[in-house]
Amino acid sequence: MQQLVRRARCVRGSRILEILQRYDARSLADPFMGLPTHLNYLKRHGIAVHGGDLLSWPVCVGKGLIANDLTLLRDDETAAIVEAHPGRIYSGERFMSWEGASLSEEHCTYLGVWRENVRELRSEAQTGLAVLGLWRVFCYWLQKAEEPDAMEDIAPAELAWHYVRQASQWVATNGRRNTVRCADAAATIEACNADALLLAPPARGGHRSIDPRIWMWEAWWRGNPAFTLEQLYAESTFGTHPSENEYTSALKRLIEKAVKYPLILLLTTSPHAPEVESLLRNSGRTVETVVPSPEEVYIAAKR
Amino acid sequence: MALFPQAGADPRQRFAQMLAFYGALGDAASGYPHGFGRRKAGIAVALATLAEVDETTRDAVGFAGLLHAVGAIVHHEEPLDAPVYGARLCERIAALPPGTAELVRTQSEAWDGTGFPDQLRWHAIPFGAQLLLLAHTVSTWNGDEALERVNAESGRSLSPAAVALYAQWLRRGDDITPLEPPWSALDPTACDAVALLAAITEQIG
Repeated sequence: MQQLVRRARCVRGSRILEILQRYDARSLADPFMGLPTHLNYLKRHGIAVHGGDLLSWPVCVGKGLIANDLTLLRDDETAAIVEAHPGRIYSGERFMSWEGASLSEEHCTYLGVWRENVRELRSEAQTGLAVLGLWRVFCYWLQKAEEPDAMEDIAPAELAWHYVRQASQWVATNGRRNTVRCADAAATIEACNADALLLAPPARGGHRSIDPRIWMWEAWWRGNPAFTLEQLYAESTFGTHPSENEYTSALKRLIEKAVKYPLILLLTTSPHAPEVESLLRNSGRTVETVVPSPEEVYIAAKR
Repeated sequence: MALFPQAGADPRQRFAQMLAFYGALGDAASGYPHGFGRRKAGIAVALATLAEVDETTRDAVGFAGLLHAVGAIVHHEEPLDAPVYGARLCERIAALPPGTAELVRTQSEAWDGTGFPDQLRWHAIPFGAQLLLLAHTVSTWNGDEALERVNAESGRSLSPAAVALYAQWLRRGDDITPLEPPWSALDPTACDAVALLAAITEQIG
């Protein structure tokens, strides 16, 4: 059975907004966006947001939540996602290798059906909303596998209907241009222009401790159940750096690349805050630290 | 004439009554029935006690429950932002137990990431906030309906750990007691009614 990670990364739109408002920043780039709910919060509050991620499914969700201002999923379109179309032949075997302690045969069949259905939607925005809804179903299943008695058995299509419909409620417009891209952090930093840059890099050795939900969903989206993140990470700025020094050097290189951004907002944890602070000070910036909790320390560095 | 004649001579008691009054005002501004916040806080504190959390966290849960809708006093146009405004207000009230503002901010966050304001998910949501959301659900529904709702939402909006705790609490058969503000948890040197009013006025302004 997949063991779920107990502590999730905490990036909060409301906290970031408070800091951006204090520095009068009206746009933000985030090259490590992950699931972009924090960018969605900022967008709804009028900040122009530009996100990037190495994984393609969060970017797909971003096309629904961030780059999209108007498109929603209608009820008939949602219905067409959550159930197999009568008469159509699906490659239902694709995810059967995941059948076991965490997922049932029915789950694996639905994963195959849903993947094919979402790829037939009429826009990337709709696909993004559907992927977000289905991701929540997938998380529910894995959680239920860990705690079978604590959670109800809900038919897959019903659960998917609930979550896919809910995804549409977060679509909003801010009258600004908002973008997402699938790219390494360094490429996103170079490509975007914004008042502020949010750096929330993966933890040291993050490729080893990543939540299985994240990579399994990437594998689902790619249609390759055997996919793993290690190769993807190896080619990235924050790749499989084995030592602390290499990690720090990678962070330093990113900060050097970010010279055009008036404000850098770096998210770290209490034990690593002093080291990160000194890196930012050495790049000639004035530094302020905001600490809502030991796991969520924001270091704001103004040029 | 004393503003809160039922409160004792201890300034913390008077200040706690003031906080409860603003909590009730927040309930009214948000459209919750009278006494909703106290009931919600009572359930959340009972669960926190059952979970054997430390005293400071338990008191913070209590005050966060009482003040759950206080943000609506200063900002009622956008309900999804009420927790943020409530938390900002609580951050200005130095007398509150540590962690209260954080719980006010996060108590509408759902386990599956569909809550607000920040759509936090799983263990990024403080345990106290998980209990408060469960208490909110239980306070909204009555009797068997509440139980059905809690069971249906386990693993969705409600954390399975909080639901398990609720089941344990039900088995004990304790009554729901609306919370009296735990005034002894307040910092006696910071119970400043004028500063509280100033903080509220400033946020409204």
